[in-house]
Amino acid sequence: MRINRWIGASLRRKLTVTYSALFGLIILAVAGAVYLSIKINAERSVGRELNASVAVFERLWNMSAENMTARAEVLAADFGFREAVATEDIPTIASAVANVSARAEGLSAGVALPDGRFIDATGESIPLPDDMLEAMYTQDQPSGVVTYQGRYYQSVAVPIEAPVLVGWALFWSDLDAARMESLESLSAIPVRAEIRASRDWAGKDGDIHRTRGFIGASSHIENFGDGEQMSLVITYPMSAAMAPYRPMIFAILIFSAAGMALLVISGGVLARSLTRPIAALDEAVHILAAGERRPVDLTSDDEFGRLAGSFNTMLKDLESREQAIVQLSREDMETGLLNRRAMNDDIAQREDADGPGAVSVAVIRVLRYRNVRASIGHAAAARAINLLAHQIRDVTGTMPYRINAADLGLLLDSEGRFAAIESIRHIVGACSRPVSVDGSSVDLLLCGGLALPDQSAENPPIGLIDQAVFAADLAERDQVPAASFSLAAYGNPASTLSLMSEMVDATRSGGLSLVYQPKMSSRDGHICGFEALIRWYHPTRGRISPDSFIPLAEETGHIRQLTEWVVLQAIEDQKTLRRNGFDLTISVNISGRQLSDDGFALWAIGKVRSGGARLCFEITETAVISDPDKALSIIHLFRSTGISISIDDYGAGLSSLSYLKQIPAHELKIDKSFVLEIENGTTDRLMIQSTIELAHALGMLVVAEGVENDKVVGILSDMGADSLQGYHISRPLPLTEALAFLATHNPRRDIA
Amino acid sequence: MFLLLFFQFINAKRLSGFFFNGASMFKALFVSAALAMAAAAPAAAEKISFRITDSAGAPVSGAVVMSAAKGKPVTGTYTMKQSNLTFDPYILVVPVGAEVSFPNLDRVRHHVYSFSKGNRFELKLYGKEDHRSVTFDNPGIVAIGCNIHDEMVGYIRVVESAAFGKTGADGQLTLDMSPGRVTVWHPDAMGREITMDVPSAPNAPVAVTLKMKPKGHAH
Repeated sequence: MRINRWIGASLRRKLTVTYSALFGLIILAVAGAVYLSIKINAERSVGRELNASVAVFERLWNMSAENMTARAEVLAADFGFREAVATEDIPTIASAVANVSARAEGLSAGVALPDGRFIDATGESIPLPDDMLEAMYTQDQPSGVVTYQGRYYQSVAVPIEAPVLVGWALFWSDLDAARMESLESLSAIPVRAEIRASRDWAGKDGDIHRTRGFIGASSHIENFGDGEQMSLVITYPMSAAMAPYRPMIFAILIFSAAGMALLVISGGVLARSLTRPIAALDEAVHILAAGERRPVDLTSDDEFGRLAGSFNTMLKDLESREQAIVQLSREDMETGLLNRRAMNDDIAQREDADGPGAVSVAVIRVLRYRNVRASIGHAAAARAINLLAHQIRDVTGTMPYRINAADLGLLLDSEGRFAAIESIRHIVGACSRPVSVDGSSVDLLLCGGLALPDQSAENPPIGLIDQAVFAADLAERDQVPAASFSLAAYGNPASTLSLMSEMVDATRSGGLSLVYQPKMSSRDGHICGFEALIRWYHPTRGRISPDSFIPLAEETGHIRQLTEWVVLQAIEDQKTLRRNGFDLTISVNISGRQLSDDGFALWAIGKVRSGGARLCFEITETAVISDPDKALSIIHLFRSTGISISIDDYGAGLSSLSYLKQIPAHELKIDKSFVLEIENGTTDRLMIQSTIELAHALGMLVVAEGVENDKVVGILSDMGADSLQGYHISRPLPLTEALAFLATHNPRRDIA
Repeated sequence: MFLLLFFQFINAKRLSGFFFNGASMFKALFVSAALAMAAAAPAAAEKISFRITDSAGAPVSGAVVMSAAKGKPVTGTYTMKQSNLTFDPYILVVPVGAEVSFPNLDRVRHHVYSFSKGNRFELKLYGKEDHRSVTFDNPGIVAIGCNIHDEMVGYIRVVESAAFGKTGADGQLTLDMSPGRVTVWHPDAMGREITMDVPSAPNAPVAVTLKMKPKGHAH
């Protein structure tokens, strides 16, 4: 598969390999066909020769058999010999067969007697094999091959009758190597002849048979007895048969290899000439994809040349179209002025050229542009803006950018803040006059904003243009002709988190403190409790208002740490009060978040118990609304463990009678917004009156907050408010002052 | 006799391809001879007929029947003619000591011989005008040939029986003999000669079946 990828990655390789492989296959097929036909041819001609040799052998075999039979018949007919055999005159028989054996070269003779004894020229008598004897009895003149002691013989037998059968005259010749060689020598090609058991040769008589590198023909030989069937097998090695064709095969191989090499080389060259322009185009497209435009350098008359020409034309078109798009992207569609994007680009360009801080940005704003546009239409409003831009250009010498619908931007050389503001005022003054659009006069009121590059600010929160827009907002808000950007006015969201971490530090370092605002009993004028309020004195920023950091702490999840600190501090301060002889309930404000926090509840209960404290948790109704079940269960938990509950700021937010009923509070605090109005309206007075009565009906004490004067004290006391709180009674006091305050108002009691 | 029988046996063997144990054959012959002698003396002669057929039921002519009982002096003359290049008769049965003349009726000359043991003879070339005769002193089978004409074959059976004869063309033969053991022989029959006991006054001719060699094979 790796080779597939390697080939597939290049057209040139693909062409070369494909055509070389095809040609190779054709050559292989042709060479194979030629070889096959040569082989078949060779086999056929050798086969003919082999069959001829077999025929010759059969002929010789028959001649030899006839020769031996003739000699045996002559012997068997001899009267004296017959007499010798009939009378079993062994020495005479032996001498007779020795005589004829000597006469016939290459032949041997012997006599078989009816009882199976066999007498040869030496006169020895040996038993004949049974199958030979049977053949002689059952056949007239048996003839064929005899296997005796591992050797082969051609043999014939002729009966001797005197006049009845008295024996057989036998003749035989050795089928030895010499006999085979003489047969082999008769063939035109150097064949090999041998006698084999027929079952050792798979070919049939008359057929050409191929086996293990040899080709051969065979002929069955008649058997003298019923011994194993034998065959003459004539073989010839295939390699020898193919030898005459070897130079031809070699030549084909050489030509094939040469042709193949030629094709690979020429194919490579051709493929290269084909693929070079494609590669050039391929590269050009890649360069284009990477964002660069480079024309293809290709000059030829063929399709590739035309393709390259088209590509280059396309490149040029692409370039001009791209420029048009860039131009369009820099333009404001309505007015044809350059847009904010163009201004940004130009600022970046200037800063690149002259370094950061090289330019300031001014924004000239058309006030109440929406109204203008609504009265004269979008197109006319845009024309008015365009006319204004030309006026500004007349004044400043440069055409402004349109950065918002009503804002035109200008790049100013960096100069002092004062000079810049002055030039903006000048523009505003010079251009704040009616322009004529479609024959009617349109009043344009302007203001301006300035943004100077501030090198001291490490991370300006927004870019110069936005700063200038914000400055224009300031000018619009303050109804001044021009304003410059102020970080203080903009605020800095990034400082929130650092403020919180500083607050957490302050809980440890003593930056936080509690002050106590007394609650005075309207019954006897004694101080009946304190509300603990938090104060934070920041080492660098000075006093920080709880209104600014408590909401932050709630948002960022630091409220629990803050509340815990307050609870612990209140418990400590209560101990101090007790040591000084005053045992008062201290109220602590609990955020809504704490009412869904089991962990805080358990912690607070534990601390109150271990400290033996008497605390009241002031909660608001809204704190209950988000998860009423949870909040009420925690409130009940506080109650059951001796912590008082007070409903704070009643009447300021959403008030629900159903929650009021469910919250098991001891105390209800009427919000100061009601109390402050109590002198002015009868409605508030009625509401306070009915609230006090409602609270009392529900078993709660009532605290009125925001008590500012004696008159109010009188009114509330008359209404039945149980205690009063406010600046008229006392501002929130640090602990030591609170102690002093108590000493003047309350009788000291010994608690210890 | 044994040797002659042996020769005959070999002749049969040529067809059957069967090889006999010589000892057992000798024993059988010996037994048959002994029985024949035992049965010889008391019985009175009577006419007994034989009917010899081959396996197909065709009559066999020239089959020799001889009694086991010995005796019978040499009487009569015996002739084995040569005419039309054949021996005539093909089979001749003679008592021991009989003289057989071999008249040549052909125009060509013959060279008659036998290599049969005990009765070897050779009558060298003789013609019409020549008289030749041979006396056969030993019982047995004498196979007769002509050295010039290989096709000529004849047989003389030399016996020492009290009664003997050969069947005619109808395969029948009647002998004047005492009941007892007899032997039936024919040169062209396969296997050994047949020995059997003939009872006194049989109702019908004694039937004997011989298995003959295929025709044309014999010379």
